[in-house]
Amino acid sequence: MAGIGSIGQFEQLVLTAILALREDAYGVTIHGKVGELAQPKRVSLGAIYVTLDRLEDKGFVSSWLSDPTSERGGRAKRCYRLEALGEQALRESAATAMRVSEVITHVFGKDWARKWKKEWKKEAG
Amino acid sequence: MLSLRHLEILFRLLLPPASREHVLGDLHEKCKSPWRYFVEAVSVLGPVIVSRIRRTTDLQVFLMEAMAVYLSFSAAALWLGQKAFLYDQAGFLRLAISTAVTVAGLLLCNAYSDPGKQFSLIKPILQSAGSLALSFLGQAAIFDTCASLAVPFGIMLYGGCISFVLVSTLRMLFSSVFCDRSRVTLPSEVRALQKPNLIPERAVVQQLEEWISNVQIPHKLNIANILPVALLAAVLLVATIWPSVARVIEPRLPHLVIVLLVVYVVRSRAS
Repeated sequence: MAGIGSIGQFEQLVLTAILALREDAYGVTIHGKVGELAQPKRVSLGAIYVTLDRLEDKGFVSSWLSDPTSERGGRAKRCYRLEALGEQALRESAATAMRVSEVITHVFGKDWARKWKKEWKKEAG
Repeated sequence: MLSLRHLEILFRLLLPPASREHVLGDLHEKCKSPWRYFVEAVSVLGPVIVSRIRRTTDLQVFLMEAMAVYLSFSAAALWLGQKAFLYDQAGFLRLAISTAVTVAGLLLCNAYSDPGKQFSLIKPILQSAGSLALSFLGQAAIFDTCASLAVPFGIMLYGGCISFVLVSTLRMLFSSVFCDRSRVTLPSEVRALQKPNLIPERAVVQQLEEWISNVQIPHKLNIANILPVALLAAVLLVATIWPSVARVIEPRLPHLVIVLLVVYVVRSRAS
């Protein structure tokens, strides 16, 4: 990978979750979205916090505290936003994933790839 | 059985201040039953503390502190003429244990320091004193369980005093390293500008964030802040070299420390 530092699989999931959630990206929603993306694996909230801190240190995401709300017991949310570096890293990792998928499809054949996709969808429910 | 409110109070104490607000809020939103809250909070606590330690610890300063503490204990052992302890009774290993406990205390102090608060001279002094107190407690525990690994009290006392001065001074010199920018909060009017499609506004917001975090963090060395500790270090150095001076200073040392602290507090209030 060129340019920016490479990201791990879990970091990819967290960045994707922030991208998908847009303005509503904070601890609980990111945890829920990453849980969906990582199925059937279970994801802990602690791992999400650690990864978010690491991504923030790398400059891939930025965060700010929102105003406190009553549904959270009068506590603020730490909201996250994808930064340009994070977008670039996510684009690079998506391109890599696509290249890997193409090679697998080329080697095993298109029928096998279709069958594989169906199995994934079944697993994801 | 503890109620949700009691659990919140308990984990409020255990969580580092920088992560407290949003982690407690997330737990409140996510977990409605006390048992679920407890399980989730326990699983979150470790990673959050480790993450805070990673974010607030500078490797170079950490190594300098570890070296300062270990050398202080070793110097104290040599100064007290305990060569047999060092060379024949696994002294260097025993000193390494107390150094490890002190350094662990310093790491926890980093993690639990509140980045929202302004830097003050008291903070590094309290952090050094707290971690040394933890080291003394550790020694008491070792003395109870495995006395052959304990360090003699004299070495702990003199080594502790020297490392207290050295670690406090190091923490003052590198104060900007221990500050964290993750708690920068913008007013809601400014945050309203943060629409993803409005690039110039985002740039303005980023500029503002940088400006705010620069205001909060003291980047330059403040000589006036380190002067009292430098003075104390000089007094201790003189006392170490000339025993006659030490005899005069030793009984007055606690008074000197208190006077310096009072002078500092009065000066910082005035400014």
